[in-house]
Amino acid sequence: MSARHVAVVALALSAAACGRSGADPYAEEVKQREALAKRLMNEADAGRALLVTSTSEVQFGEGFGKLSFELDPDQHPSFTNHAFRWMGQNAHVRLKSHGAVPMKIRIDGWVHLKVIGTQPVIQLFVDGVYIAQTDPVGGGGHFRIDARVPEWAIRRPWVDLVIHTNAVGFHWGDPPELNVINIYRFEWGEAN
Amino acid sequence: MSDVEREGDAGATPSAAPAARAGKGALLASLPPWRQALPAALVGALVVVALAWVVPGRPRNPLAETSVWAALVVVAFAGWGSLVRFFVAPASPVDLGLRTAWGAGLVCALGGAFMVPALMVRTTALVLVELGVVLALVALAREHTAVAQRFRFAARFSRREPALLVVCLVVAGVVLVHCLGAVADWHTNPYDDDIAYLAFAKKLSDTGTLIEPFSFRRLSAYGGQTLFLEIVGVRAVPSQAHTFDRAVCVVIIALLVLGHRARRRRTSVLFVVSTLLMLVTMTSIAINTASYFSGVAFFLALFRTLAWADEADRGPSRAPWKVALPLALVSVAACTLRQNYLPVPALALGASYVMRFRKTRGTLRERVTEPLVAAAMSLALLVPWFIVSWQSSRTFLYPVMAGTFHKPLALNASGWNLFREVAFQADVAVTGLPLVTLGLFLLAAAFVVEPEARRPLGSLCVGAVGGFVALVHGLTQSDAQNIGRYAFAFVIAFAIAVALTAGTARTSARPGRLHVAAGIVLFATFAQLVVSRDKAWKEYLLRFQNIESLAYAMPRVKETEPPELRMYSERLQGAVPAGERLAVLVDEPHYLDFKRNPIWNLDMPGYASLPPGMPSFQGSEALERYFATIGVRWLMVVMPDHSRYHYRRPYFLELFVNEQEIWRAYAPYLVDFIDNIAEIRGRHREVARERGVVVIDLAEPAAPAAAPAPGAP
Repeated sequence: MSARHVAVVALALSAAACGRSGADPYAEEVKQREALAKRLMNEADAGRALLVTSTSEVQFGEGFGKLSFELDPDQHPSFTNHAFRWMGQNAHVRLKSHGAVPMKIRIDGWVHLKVIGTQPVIQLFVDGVYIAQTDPVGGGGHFRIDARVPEWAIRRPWVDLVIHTNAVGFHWGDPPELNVINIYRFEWGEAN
Repeated sequence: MSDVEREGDAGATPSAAPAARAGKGALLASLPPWRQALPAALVGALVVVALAWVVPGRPRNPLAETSVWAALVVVAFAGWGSLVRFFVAPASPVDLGLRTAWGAGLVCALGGAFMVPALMVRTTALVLVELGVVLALVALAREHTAVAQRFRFAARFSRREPALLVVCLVVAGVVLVHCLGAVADWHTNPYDDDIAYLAFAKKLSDTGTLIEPFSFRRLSAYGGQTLFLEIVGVRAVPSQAHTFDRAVCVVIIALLVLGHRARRRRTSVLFVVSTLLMLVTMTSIAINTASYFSGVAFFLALFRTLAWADEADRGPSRAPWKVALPLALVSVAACTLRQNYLPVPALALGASYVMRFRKTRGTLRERVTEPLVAAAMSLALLVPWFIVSWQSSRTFLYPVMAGTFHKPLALNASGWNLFREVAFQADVAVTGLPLVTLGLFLLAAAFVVEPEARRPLGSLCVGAVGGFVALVHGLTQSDAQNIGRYAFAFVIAFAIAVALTAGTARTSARPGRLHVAAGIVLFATFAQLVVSRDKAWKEYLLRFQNIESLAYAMPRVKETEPPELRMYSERLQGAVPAGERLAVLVDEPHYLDFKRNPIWNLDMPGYASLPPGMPSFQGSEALERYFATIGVRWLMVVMPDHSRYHYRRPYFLELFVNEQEIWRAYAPYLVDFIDNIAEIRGRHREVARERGVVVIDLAEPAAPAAAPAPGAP
């Protein structure tokens, strides 16, 4: 067998290994620990942070900033304060499939209209499939998206959700710190 | 290139080498015997004086004491290595660097064997060093002519190249400050060292073995690094544990770099000094006392031993075990340092033997005997570590065999796929390592054509790349910087190996690929030096400060002991009857007396536990029943509002929303454990309490009022 053959086989094996799926035998314990985390965070009046924190089913990825908190009067970013993530023009969230069932997404966010100088439209795509969009965001800058993701759009164990905004107020090749749009609530669950 | 280098190069043509050596030998032979023996006698006298000064137990300056002891540890390794050389290559030259690394490998093997019957106590460590020093003295006496030759070479170099001598002395000075800085560095990592690594060394010193079934960190290494920490700890306090990795091992690396020869060519002085300077000025990512430079030393020794074996192949035929033994010693020692090092020597040796098989002629038996012997020896040397690992954590091959590891806390990220894997591998390679010019070293390696059948550089490259890919693939929950720490050893060893190989190019030879490699390496090395400059200077300023502090520090006497020592080992532990099993969750378990009680360090509760498995998220009664099942009556825990670092509840509560999955997944286990312990504490008798650390008797119900620790202020 030539080196080329070996390389092809190795690549195929690693791809298979990386992409393997199947029932998670430890799912119950994962649920228990996330339930505990939710309970304790709520007791500590920090439950808002969990709304924009990665979990076993939601992974915030490229295009999002780190989890941020509003500052206390003494400029300390306490984790019990309002929590949010700044996002760029395309922000990715990886979402775990529940199998062949429709899912729902809820996103709450805010646009800094004074800085951006326009009213952006925010759209959702799951693995390239258009799912939903907002009207041009105006008013106080707050927006909310409630969308249903049909089961046929979920073809992988984990799908890639792109939150796209049609304007960030800057040329894409000259990106400043994109502190113009953030989200402060993200939910992912079964639609029915 | 200097005349001296050319002289060092005298063996570039095989016919010229024996003549040159014969000439030098004749010159030496003309000297009276006492003059031939004088350099060796001086070195030997220095070693004896150092040993006589440092071994007796009396107060001394702590900087001098630990530095001298560390130097003697290096001498002892050289002595044990000389013993290996005596058996495997009595008639051929083996430089000090290789001997030291082989000796360290042998000490590691002996230490592992002693751990099985729990004999690797402090006295054993002391005896191992003393015996090694004696062996080094014997080797000095036997090889006094060779020592005299080295002295003459050094003297000649000084006369002919005074400017280069100054450069060498400056670099040697930087290396010395690096090493003394390690001896004087008082920083220990509260997350890793204070709660686990230092306690491991103390426990090994006290009990002769390392049984910690509840420790994730114990699972993550066979214990070689702990063994070496114990050896250095004979004349060092716990906060000086950096001495082994950043001083002893840096000296071993320097000796390995200095002694390198390939195809009978030395590496040029320019490459030696620039490589060493790059090594000791690289931004430090060693956040704890685990293996960093020790891994570099053993992986570099593997490369050097392969090069040595190739030279040996050209000499008279020798038994396969004589080549296989040193290869097995350094490979197994590397494997014992960190679990993620395991694939590197296996892949490197495998690649080397495959290439040797393809390049050599002879019967099948001749070609496969040595690989089989090397594999058998490696396995035999690993068996003691397997046994101790099994005794401790019910596995001899973590992470392939989980043992006491709690599988729901797997270290692989959720939602992983091939694209994320490739991106993450690249991220770690680009941003996770302090060697920012790594790509250039890889480019240089591509220009090296190794005529050697064993391909030392190519083999190490295979091992390093394979080890890197396996490491990143197995730890995708973590981040690039942390994974970079685990890859540091074999990546840096590979870069040094490239520099050493390229540095054998000679300007007098016709330009070829090796010269291209040499040019790239020089550029990469100097670029790295420039990039590291600012941070390195800050680190060196801190080192000077630490060295000064320790130089003027009081000797180690009872009055200079930290107050925690008596608190833990006498007042708190004294509340537990001697011989009773004790489980602890405290910030500084290394102050405990492991001889007095069998102690289990709970380390990071949830990651590892004895069957039937520590219950999490099932309430305090379940946890209490579990302790009863495994025979734990006494608990020593720090209260979360008193923990100075690792067991602070608010800190772990914030980790619930950490960006790294590894922390989000783990934090609920620790908070759950802390909360359960608080409930258990309310139901049972507190037999001692001091500074927020409590001792609980699980067999007794709660007393009306807690008793202060006997003698507590």
